[in-house]
Formats: sequence, C-alpha cells, structure tokens
Amino acid sequence: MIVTASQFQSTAPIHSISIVQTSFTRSAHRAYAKPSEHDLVQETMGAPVVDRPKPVNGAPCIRSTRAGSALRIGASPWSTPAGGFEPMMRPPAEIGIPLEEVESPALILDLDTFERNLKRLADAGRRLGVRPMPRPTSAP
Amino acid sequence: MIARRQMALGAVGVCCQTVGEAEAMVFGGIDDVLVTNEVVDRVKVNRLVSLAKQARVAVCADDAGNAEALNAAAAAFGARLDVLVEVNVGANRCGVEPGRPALVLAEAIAALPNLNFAGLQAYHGAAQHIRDFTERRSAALSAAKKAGATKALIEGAGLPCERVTGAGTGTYRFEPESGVYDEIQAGSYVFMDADYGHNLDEGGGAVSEFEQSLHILATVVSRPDRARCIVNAGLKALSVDSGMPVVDGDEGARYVGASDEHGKIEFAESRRGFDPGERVRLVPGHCDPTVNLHDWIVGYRGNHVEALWPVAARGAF
Repeated sequence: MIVTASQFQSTAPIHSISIVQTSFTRSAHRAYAKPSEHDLVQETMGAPVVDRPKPVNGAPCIRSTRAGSALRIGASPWSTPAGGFEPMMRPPAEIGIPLEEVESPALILDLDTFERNLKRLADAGRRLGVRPMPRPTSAP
Repeated sequence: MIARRQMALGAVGVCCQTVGEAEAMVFGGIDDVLVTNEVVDRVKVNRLVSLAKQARVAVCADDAGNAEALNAAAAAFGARLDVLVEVNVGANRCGVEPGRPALVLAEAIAALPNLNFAGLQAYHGAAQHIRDFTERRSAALSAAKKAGATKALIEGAGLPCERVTGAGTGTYRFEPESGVYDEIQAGSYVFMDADYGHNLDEGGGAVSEFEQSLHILATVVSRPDRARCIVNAGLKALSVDSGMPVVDGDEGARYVGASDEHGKIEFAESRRGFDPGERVRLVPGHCDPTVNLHDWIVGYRGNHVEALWPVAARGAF
C-alpha cells in the first residue's frame, strides 16, 4: 500500500500533546537520535512514499524511529516512516469512543478510580510524615 | 503522565528499576529519579552517569567494586552521583547485610571523590504480599528495625545518612511506627491487582485502601461448551507470575489458564456464562509486568475514552 505521512496525519485521531512528548521519551532511550534514511523519507511529506528504506547498521529499530520522526514532524506517533501501519503501536481506541468500541485485548484504566488512588497515597504520605517516592514501573 | 501526576500531588521523585526507565522519566520531565537497583553493565553505567548530569539521579550499590566503577564513570563524565547502599532487610535479593557490612560499603562510597553516599535502600518486596495483617506488619517492622540500626551505626561513624527509602503498597502504612523511613516506594497502588487484593486488613477482610483501576478488557472468542469460554487475552496480554487474573465482578466465572493468545474461563454450574462477542474485564494478577506487555493504556471516564497513554518505559532496560 502506498501512503503518505500527511495522509496519516489527516486521518489519525487527535491526541493530546502528552502523547507525542512521551513517545519521544520512548524513542530517545532506544534510538539515540541517530539520523537515518527514515528521516529523509519523512521529509517527503505530501509525496507518495514508495521505497521502504534499507536497514542500516546501527540504525534505530523502526518503532523508535517512527516515534522520533513523529515528534519531529508532528505526525501521529503510530504512522510509520515508510508508510503503512505498524499494528503493534496502533492504539486500541480513539479519544471519545464508548468503551464497547475499544479493541481488545486492551488495558483500560478507570480515570476516576486512578485519581482517587493517587490522592489517597498523597494524603497518607502527608498524614504519616513520609515523602512519596512512587514506582511508576513501565507506566506512561 | 502518571509520574507527573504523582509529582503534582506531592511525590518528591520517582523510583525506577532500570536505566532505561530512568531515562524515560527524565526525558519526560521528571527531575528526581532513584534507580532502586544495581547497575553494572559498563554502557549502562555510562548512561546512568550521563543522566545524572541532566537531573537528580541516584542509584543503589551493594558491592565496593561496583561503586568504584560508578565513580570511574562519574569522573570521566565530570559528574557526581548519589549512591545508596542497598541493605538486605529480609527479601534476600540484592543488598549487603545490615549493620557493619553496610557501614563498610558506605565508607567506601563516601571515600570516592565522584560519589556521594546518599543513604540506605531498604525495600522488602516479599513483605508487600504477606496476606495476614499481623505477619505483614511484623515483617515490615523487622525490616525497618534493621534499616534503623544500620542508619544509627553509619551516623555514629560520622557519616550523614541523608535518606532511608523503602516500603511499598503493602507495607507503607506501618513505616511511621518505626520512624525510620523518609521515603515510601509504593507503586502498585495506582492500578492495584489481584495479588494485592488478596492482602488482608486488621479485621481479616480484603484491604480496601486502594481500588482496582486497571483492567484487561477481553472479548469472548469461543464458547465450546456450557462450562467454559475462551477469551482473546492470554500470556501476550497479561502476566500470570502472581496468579491468574480474576474475572471482575463475577465469582461464578474463573480464569483458569492462559496460553499465548487465549485465556480459558470456566463457569460454575449455575452460571449462564459468556457467549462469543461478550466483553469481560479481568483484574490483572500482577499489574507491573502486565502493563509492560502493552503499548497503550486506554483511560476512560464514565463510558467514554478520555486518554490514550503510550507505555513509555515498556521494555526499557
């Protein structure tokens, strides 16, 4: 399938800026921001992207490159540099849809409950006189 | 996102277990990170020291040779690194023994020009999951006692012990009794899981201070007979190291086995069961490794998706 980065931008759902920022953190520690042919491909926004770049020794993995490139051009973080979707990174939902339409399996988080938990530990820390230094393991 | 929310609510920083996680946090704007682990690989040590030039970063050590390697890397980068001595307070994982062995290592660290002896890491992971309230409290207080005695020994030798850090979701409430800990390292409380749900409170009931906020949403893909169904969430969607996930809100349905892409749910005789296409919410057996299997967390409020958060530190070592 031949697609362009700009087409992805136009069809992708809108997400908050935090997604892009966090994607960068993910790419940064994996990709080490090494420029690659992927970046050049991204520069051709608007023109059909036909050739998938050849693997380059030491080049970042495609997941990282995609996220990093997405940051640079502001594209959605799951569009691939060479066009096409990479299923592993496609989110299982879109903002605003009802839960029934979320693709499964998916991790779903009840934000009201999550926020209550956050507040309870913060309150407990104050009450008990200890500083919370929480472990957000693997968390966003 | 979660770390930033925690910081906004008064957290002084966050704990990570790997350098990659620490990088994700610092690059995401967190400026105080404690790696509650030993970092030994040469390149990882370099990455850690590099990070310490961008944010307040501390790491644990339980070996003098490792401390020297950390110091050499810090010197090469012109950095100064906070190092905590990890003390074995009962988990029998990493850590020097409490008392004199910890003092010896603390003095060795303090003598190295590019390291700062920053205190003690005294985390008892296994104690978090002791079911009985009294036993859990006893294990937590025993850990605190060892940490407190070690701190006193080190300070008695003239070394300031800036921070004693430890405790988790299962034991944090006991720490003030000891007065030893300055920081608590609870993490699972944001999501909770079935394993923590098995902990008991003082009255013998399930602990209830935190609520289950995270679920695995699965779909029934097959109903081969009346007694069982198959969902599309198996080992690639959830971890089973702390037991099987639990079908939320339905005691008559039991998740009994996971293969790569399938999960088997059995029904009590009286139950109607679930048919293909029906959705099932599963409480993860262990939230941390389950999160690590997913690229995204779908945040919802009411019945609608409000946030999509990529799991920034997934697989980041």
